[in-house]
Amino acid sequence: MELPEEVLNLINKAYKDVNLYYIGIFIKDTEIISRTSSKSEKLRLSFGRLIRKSLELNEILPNFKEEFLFSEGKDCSLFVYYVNEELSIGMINIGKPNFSMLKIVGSDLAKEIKKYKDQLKEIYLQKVQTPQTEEAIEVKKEIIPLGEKAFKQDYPEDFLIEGSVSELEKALSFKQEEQKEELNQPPLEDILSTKKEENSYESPSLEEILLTKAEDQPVSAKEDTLESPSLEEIISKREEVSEENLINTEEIFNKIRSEFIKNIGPFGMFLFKKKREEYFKTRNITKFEILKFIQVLAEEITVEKRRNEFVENVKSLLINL
Amino acid sequence: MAVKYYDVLENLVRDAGAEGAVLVSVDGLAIASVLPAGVDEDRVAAMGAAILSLGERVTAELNKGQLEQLYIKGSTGYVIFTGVKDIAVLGVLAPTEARLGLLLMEIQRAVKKLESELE
Repeated sequence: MELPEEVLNLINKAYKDVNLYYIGIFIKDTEIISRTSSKSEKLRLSFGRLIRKSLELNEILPNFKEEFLFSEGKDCSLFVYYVNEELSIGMINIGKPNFSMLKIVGSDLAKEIKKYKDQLKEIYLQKVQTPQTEEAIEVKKEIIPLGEKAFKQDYPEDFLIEGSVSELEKALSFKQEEQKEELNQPPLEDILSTKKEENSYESPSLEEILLTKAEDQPVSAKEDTLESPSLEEIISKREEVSEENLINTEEIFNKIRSEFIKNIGPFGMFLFKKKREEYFKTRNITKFEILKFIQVLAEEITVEKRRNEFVENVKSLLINL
Repeated sequence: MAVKYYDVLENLVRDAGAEGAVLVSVDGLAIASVLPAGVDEDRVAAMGAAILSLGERVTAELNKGQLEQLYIKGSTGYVIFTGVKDIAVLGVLAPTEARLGLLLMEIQRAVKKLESELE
């Protein structure tokens, strides 16, 4: 289903009239259409997540039913107008925050957009039902032919005139490489919302991270690692203490939880609770299972640097316990 | 120390006609709160930190620094989240009939007090 032209016109009009930096229509956290001078995919994703999170307020405050969200910083403001429980209009204004203006624009636009809610919902369902990988493959297929039309869409005219065919092929293959990279990095929300298959995860495991670090060190450095025991050793030491009934497993979990939240963000609080409940539902709390559980948590942290930091910090925490 | 924060929140709720307030650390854990019965302190705290942090991720993409305040209007009232330096978030629940101007002014006053307490 194609997006009604009227919706496009409405979005364009608001974008130009108010000189917005960004305007987009969302269903839940998925952007259906937008007009912006930014090419940042992260901007769209973050805005979508903000909308989704704000809609969760209904779970805490029953019947809250969001009408609008406004946020201001020194040089910019964000505005979300909720058309209904699913449909919303997001706007970003650069410059001095102007709440009243954004509210009027949002309110007027919402009245018009409401008329197309069914069509927008259909487009949303198509977007959601089409797996992301298939979408990306389609895009790749469009790029492969080195036709002039395909090239003109992505590059400025002056580049076209000066560029040779080999440059053109190079540029397109580079673009394909970029897309492949994007494919390998699924959005965090996907990772959180869908249970991953164990084999599909490509990031290194906890053991691999620790092992790689040990291998990277020179022989003399390896000797030094004796002072810094591995995670397995730490856990086993803790287990020895537990045999003497001195261990407090809750204390360990609390420390791990704090480190996890620090590295993944505030929603780590819920994620930790969920993962812990899921993991230890059918397992006993043993040294091995705690180790595996830390690995499960580490895999949730998509940023490698943060993941490593989490592993390192948990290690040092366990030493100090 | 939490008693001082509690006093600031209690004064804010009383003076601004709010329904409740909660002071949250940036990692989403409640420091102090004055909330109506039935409202889960932990969930409001985590939600406040998460929403403000997500808003800041948007502005980070624009290189426009931090968000000072974020408020959501619902059919039953307002939820207002304000950053307290880089170390905490103040969340305030207010009814629909609350005077927004007065409420925002009282929030700013409370934020200043909290900032000096947190220094």
